[in-house]
Amino acid sequence: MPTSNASTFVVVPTYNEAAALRQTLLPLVYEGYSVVVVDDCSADNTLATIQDLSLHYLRHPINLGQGAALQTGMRYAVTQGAEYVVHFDADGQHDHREIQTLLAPVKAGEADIALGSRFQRTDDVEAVPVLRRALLKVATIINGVTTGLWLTDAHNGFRAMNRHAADAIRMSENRMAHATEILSLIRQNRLRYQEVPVHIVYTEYSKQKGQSALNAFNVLIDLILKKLLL
Amino acid sequence: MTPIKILLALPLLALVLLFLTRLQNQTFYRLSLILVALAGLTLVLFPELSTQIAVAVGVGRGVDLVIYIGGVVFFIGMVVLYSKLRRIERTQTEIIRNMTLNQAKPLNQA
Repeated sequence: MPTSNASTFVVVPTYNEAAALRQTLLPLVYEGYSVVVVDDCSADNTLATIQDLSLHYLRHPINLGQGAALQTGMRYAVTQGAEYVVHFDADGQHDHREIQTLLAPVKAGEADIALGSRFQRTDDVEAVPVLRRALLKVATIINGVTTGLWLTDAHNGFRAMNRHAADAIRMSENRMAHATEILSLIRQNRLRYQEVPVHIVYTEYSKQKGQSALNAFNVLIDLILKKLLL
Repeated sequence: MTPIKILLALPLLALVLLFLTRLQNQTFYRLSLILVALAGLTLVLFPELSTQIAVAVGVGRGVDLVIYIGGVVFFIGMVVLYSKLRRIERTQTEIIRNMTLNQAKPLNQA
């Protein structure tokens, strides 16, 4: 690629992740990506831990949720002239070396958005804890039924898209239901999408931070209510 | 006029007055709320009416009918409130987002 990584904006929503954030950001900054940290009103010392890094820092004055933070980051990236936008988790469960893998179909013009999947290579699948695997399978079915997009993975926060997709996707689900809403928006905006195998690192830290089964239930209720009310 | 009738009728009357003076731009809400309050007022003043209606629709007792209708009205109220909250939340998000974007700062950019 003739253009450098600077035109790729990596959006990292963060909420009380000061313990892991710096380690997540260092390689991204080092590789020359335009890093956009969206601090969703963390109560810890998030800013202090990353103050010396070269990145874009945005802070919500009140806590709105991960979906809202992603949306703020995307809007910012688009106004800053981003060519590509990547969604990246703050807790270190995504591998920065896989950003280019994920971007490959987008850069090649084969897709507007690439979605990371843990369920396309056996060794990736085996890395997912058994209970979570079952939960995600159920979620893919719910997503398929409600959005019409049948994917192998659900709630995978690792995504890469071109400018067109970043501009077209406008989420209104502030909290976790945004993961399913993105799929609806992909379909509504007729974006070309592809699933790309990625590896997710389950550390003790990220497991503890991850979604519980109860949360998945809440997301489901939210989506059903949304279907009924809008 | 028994004391309980006055006790129940006065707040309902106050509600009718409230809706008459408020919600100028929401004719539909205004009218339906006034109608509901008036219906309540009528039932308070003429309780036998509820039994007659109950028998007519096949419920049996007037009190049961009032409870059933109350339940439905409560549920509809919840849904209306929920969707209003969603709308407020969306506006709030938009305001917060614009504030955030206006205050965005690049740290140590070359």
